Amino acid sequence: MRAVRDETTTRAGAGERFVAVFRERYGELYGLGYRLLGDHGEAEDVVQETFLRLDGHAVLDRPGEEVAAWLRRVCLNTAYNRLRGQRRASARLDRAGRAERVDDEADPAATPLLEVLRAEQQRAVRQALASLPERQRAALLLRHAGYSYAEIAATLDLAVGSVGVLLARGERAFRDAYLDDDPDPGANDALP
Amino acid sequence: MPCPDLGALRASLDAPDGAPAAARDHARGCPSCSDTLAELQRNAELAALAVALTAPSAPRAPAQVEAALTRFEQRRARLDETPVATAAAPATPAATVTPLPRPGRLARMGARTRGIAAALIAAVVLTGLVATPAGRAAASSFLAQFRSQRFQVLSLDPSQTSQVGDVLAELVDTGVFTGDAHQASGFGEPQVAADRAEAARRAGFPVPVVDPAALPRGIERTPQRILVSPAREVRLTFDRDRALDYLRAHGRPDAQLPERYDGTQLVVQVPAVVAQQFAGRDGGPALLVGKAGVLGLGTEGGASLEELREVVLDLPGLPAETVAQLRSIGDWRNTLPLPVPTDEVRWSPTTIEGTEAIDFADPTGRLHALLWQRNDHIWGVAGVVSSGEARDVANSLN
Repeated sequence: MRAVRDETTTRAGAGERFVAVFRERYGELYGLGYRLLGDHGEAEDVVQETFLRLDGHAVLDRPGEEVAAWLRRVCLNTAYNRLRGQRRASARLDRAGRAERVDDEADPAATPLLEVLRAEQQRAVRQALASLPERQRAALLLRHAGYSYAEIAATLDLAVGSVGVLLARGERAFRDAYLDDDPDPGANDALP
Repeated sequence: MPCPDLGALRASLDAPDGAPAAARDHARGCPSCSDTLAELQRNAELAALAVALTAPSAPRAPAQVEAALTRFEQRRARLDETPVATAAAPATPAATVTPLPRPGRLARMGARTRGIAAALIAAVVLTGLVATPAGRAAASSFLAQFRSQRFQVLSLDPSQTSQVGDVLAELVDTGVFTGDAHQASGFGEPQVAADRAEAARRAGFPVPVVDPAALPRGIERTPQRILVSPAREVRLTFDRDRALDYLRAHGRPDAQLPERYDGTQLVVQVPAVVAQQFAGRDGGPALLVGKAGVLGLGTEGGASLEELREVVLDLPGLPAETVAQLRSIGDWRNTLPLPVPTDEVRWSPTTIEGTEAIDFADPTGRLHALLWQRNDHIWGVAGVVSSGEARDVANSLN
């Protein structure tokens, strides 16, 4: 009888912890998913899938920072899988470049022309990001979304001392991809 | 100290007081490392600006997180009800996930709120045009007689944008303004036209020929496609009782509104827009040349446009500076306020063939746009071009 009660109590505790983690981490994971996918519905789906994988996972018993790093890693991988496996990348990019905004992140204050300009900016950035190796892309995205070197290292499962070089290479590759309309040969000669 | 490695130099940019700062100190006296550090800094700044552009427009609100949690629990419950699917793929949890039904209730509500809010913000902006005595007189007619000849930028920082959005969304959610969601969905879904003639027929005005010689290098000479958003009318109905509930719930217990206001319709005449889209080297859209008609606004019912404008501009929660900007606009008959998010767009006044215009640029300086008004139409050129290239195209549109 006591064993049954303990099991029930443990399950209830895990449920409460899961809900607390969901509330605490949902916003940042949504932000990561949206930055990569550029679509509200897909970002939402990716975060939901991420939490489905957390549900009942042993990592939930680990300290909060470890859970957070695990969630970010799964979220990024799930988003990458979507970008890679669904053969919809070109359609998505095309859609992102169209005159209309298709998700509910549209700014109701913007004029159609500004909306087009913004959509084109985002399309170009995501296209450049998509051309980077996954770890460089993740490091760049995480760093410029405000994560510390320690958090990036925990998410990507690497040493803190390796984050700098990953960022340096990722940012250089990003610049080359983003500014490919205005090539500047030799600009990177200073970099090893 | 030997020359630090690339990673240490990069880390020194993010840790001014930490150990990696030693790498930056070294670079001050080492020409080679100094050049590398400068290059790393430029790359990091560009990446920071660019990645910021991909962020959601606002953080998830607590209510959105709760709604997501509810959806998650529903989804998990559905999965629990399908034991075959769950048992079939234990090693690949993602494969068992049932796609979320879309558009879901939340998404539909979001779209509705968004659409009506878009029309509302247009109304708020345009009601700023009747801030003068002459404007009040004109507002008593069914439709404000407005012919925009120039723009005035309405600067909105992220906080102000968020506040305005929150207020407008709440007005819709609480039923203060109601309207048809399809009717009110912003400026409408653009449709592809076969050619300029068809676009002109749908829009109701001539579509300009873009001189191929004026197009920048790397841009296709003919439009990739021509998009038309037809003109239409959006009607929003004002509910006086719900407005009073709203005001009283937001610290105005003594708020009063005349009964005759109830049921007044705000009528927004949204102009047609034509955009010619030109492809760049990668086949994606690189340049847009746009032309639109003018906007109209008025009311039908017991409240005049000026009275409804006062109700909206006095709403609790709107940023004081934004309201002040709207109220301060002179020359209301000829000035169209343009809401511009200051964190995403830089702007400066300029001229196109003697006509006042606004030059926009994104924070990275890679994208530029020009907007001006001429002959009762709004014109625009935007894309992955320099300011000078955009100007060449603009000057060719006669």
